[in-house]
Amino acid sequence: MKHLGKREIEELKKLVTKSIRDKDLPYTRKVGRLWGIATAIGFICQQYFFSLAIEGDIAARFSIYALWAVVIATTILLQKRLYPKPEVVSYISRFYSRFWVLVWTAMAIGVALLVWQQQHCLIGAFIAVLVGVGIGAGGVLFGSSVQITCGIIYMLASLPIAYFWREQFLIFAALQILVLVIGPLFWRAREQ
Amino acid sequence: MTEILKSKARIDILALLSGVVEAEFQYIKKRLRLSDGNLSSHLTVLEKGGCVKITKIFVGKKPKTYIRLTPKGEKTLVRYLDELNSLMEKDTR
Repeated sequence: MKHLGKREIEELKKLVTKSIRDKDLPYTRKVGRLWGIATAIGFICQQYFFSLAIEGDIAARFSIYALWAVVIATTILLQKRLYPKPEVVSYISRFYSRFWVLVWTAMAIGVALLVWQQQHCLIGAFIAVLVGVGIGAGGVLFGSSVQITCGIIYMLASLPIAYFWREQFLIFAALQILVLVIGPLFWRAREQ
Repeated sequence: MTEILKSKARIDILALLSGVVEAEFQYIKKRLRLSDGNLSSHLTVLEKGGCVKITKIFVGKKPKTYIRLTPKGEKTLVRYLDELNSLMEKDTR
């Protein structure tokens, strides 16, 4: 046991503290891209149904549920097939994935309440704030300024989304695509 | 336990695994800069000592080896670090 010096012990400490926050970056980026594209397509379709729904088409209102069931199920299946498992699951990344389950639950309950209270103009803004909080929290946990910036962009975007509420889901889809484009640009610039 | 802790690489493996739920063979290899054969032999010792659990699965057509720390491995590492701390305290006195 005496073969370890002070420097080795410091290295050992660093190894533990670093591994707690570690994540499989290429895997996380691929999965993020997949979900970003899938949900952007989902929001574009939702905008179409939403436009019909505010004109009084009841069938369009119910089609939204089917739409999201299809989008989420397809994306989960695709993820399992294309990117089944990351190289490493740290305790922080496990905590973060559980945190997202909470975010999704809060989103479902919140959207249901807004629909019930007939506050349709606030749905997109509410989702943008929650997604922003979720992404930003990830940035804080993993120490990623790019992720924190993306989270803030989502939260700030809730204002134009609420203001132009008739096109709220289209703006949301555009925001998803924007984040999908600027995220990798930031990462690439940093890696160089 | 003494056999397990004779090598610094094995202590590093245990320390690395203590921060993660599970890790793939290639991840440990990259992080600790060990060769395939070297890591493999250390893992065999750790598995025989009951410190790690090794699972082999197929991801698509590729075989992947996932490793996780067992409660015994965790205890071994904690006991080792405690002893190390007490030794260092004695040294500073």
